[in-house]
Amino acid sequence: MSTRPGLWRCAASLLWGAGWLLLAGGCATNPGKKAEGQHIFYPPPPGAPRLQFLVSYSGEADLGRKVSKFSTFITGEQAPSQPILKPYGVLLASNQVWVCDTAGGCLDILDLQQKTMRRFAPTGYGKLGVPINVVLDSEGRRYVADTGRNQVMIYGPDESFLGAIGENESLRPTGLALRGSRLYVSDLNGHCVRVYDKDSRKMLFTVPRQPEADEAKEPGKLYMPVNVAVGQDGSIYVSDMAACRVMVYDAEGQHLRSIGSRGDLPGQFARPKGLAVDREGRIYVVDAASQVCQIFDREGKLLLFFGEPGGSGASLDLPASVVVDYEHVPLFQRFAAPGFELEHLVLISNQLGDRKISVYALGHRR
Amino acid sequence: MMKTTTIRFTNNSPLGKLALTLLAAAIGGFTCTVSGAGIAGTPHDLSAKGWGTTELCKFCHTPHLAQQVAGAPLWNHQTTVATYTLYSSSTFQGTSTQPGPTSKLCLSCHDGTVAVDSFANGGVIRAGTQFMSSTNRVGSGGNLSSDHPIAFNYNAALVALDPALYTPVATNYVDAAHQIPLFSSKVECASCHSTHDNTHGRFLRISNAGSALCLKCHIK
Repeated sequence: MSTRPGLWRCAASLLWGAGWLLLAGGCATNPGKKAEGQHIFYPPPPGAPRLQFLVSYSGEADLGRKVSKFSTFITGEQAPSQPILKPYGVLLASNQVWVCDTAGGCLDILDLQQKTMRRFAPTGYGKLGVPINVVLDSEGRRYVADTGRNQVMIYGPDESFLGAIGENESLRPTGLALRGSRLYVSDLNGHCVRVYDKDSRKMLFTVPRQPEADEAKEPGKLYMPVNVAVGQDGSIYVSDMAACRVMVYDAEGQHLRSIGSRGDLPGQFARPKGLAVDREGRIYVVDAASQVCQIFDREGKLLLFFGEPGGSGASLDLPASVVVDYEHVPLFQRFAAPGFELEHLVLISNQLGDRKISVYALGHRR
Repeated sequence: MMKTTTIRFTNNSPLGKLALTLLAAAIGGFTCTVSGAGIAGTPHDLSAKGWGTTELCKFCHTPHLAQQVAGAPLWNHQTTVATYTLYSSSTFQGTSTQPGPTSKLCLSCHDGTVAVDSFANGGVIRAGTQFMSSTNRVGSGGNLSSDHPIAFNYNAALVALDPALYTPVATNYVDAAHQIPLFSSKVECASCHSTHDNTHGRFLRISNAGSALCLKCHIK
């Protein structure tokens, strides 16, 4: 083998170049853009753009950390490849995206700054079964609704297992929301949302107050309350997957109104799942049958739908959860189209496809 | 494009319900794989779980509405779609390994919340060209929900790769007896499961005694 320095340098730079090329082909470095550099807006042109698709993540590789083939050759460090398997609930906090991975039986935590992903998979008493949703309180405690264990698991900021809600009850907890000291848990077995004091873990009341009563007596009756969200003023929003509507209650659980009905027209639902409320009181609901996200105003009038297959692009694929975030807009600013001012983020989890966590932003043209 | 099928005549009409019951009774005398009365009492009888009205078909067969819902989307000005298409055809998916529309309908409930998260095989829809890893004990836990892949093409090319499979007789059936359907040559949830009929347990199409269902495709 020749030892001429020139040949070595040539070989090394070839390897380096090949490594970059391979990685560029394999990583979704900026899947937010279409091939020609066009951005994906909703509603599509010529309508005034209200929402833009920014970027999506399906695993560690999408975070953008590059490990060259040369580096692997020297250090043995593999290119990132851990996937998000089957997400449901999502959370954005401290520059991290937390994903409840129902198939992985763990939480996938994507660090957007470090560009790494790790799995929170406790062992022992705190072992997770099928995590559906997660919320974080102001003390850093995390609450995970787990349908494998039929409990709401509680962990401290140091990730130690603190305890669980639902040890003696026949709970089937799916949706979670937190406001102040109140923890809201939607219970499929109880056909209600249970409101707990998060510190004492005592149940304060159910929404509706009489879950067993029929609809004539209890206009706020819930059938299959899969997800729950709480507005700025304490109003409680519940998506009912069986009755195909969103029920709205005040902070004490009194029924205010219901939004939507069963069907396949805009404004209707067929399999409503996750929902979120923004600071203006707009309600975002994802539908796993129509595979669309609909935005309603506080009265329940439809403002916009997006993500439908065959629409502008970045379509949803069996969506499960939607969250709204105001704090992390600067992190995604680089994906914004020129001239489009981002107001807040909308994250949607898709259980299938190659856009497991899709990030959109509501905004307006400057 | 494919839509989920609808049953319009059961729209709250007693005549419609009577017609359906009579029809079910009439064909109930024959051995059939689909029966209108088959769902009642099974785990798919969602009306019995207090999860909705007694009209249990509506959970999967969403009806169309004749009248336009008041208020077109206010920000759209022009509604670009008249209705949502429930589960567009697989041409909207990027790859050929995406589950078909009927499988997506199954997965829309079997997502870990209301029902068993069937298909928790690491969540990855494996192409038919990949053999199962040695760490997967097939059928461990008493079911295949964590093992068996779907949304792959089951055709002569697959059999060439894995000779321990029977060659399907057509693009829509594996066996000559027409008991195991394929969907454009793809194995989907409905290949092994019949949603409306729980005669054999676990909504299987045929009994799996002696692994008879497995042996319809696998030569062992």
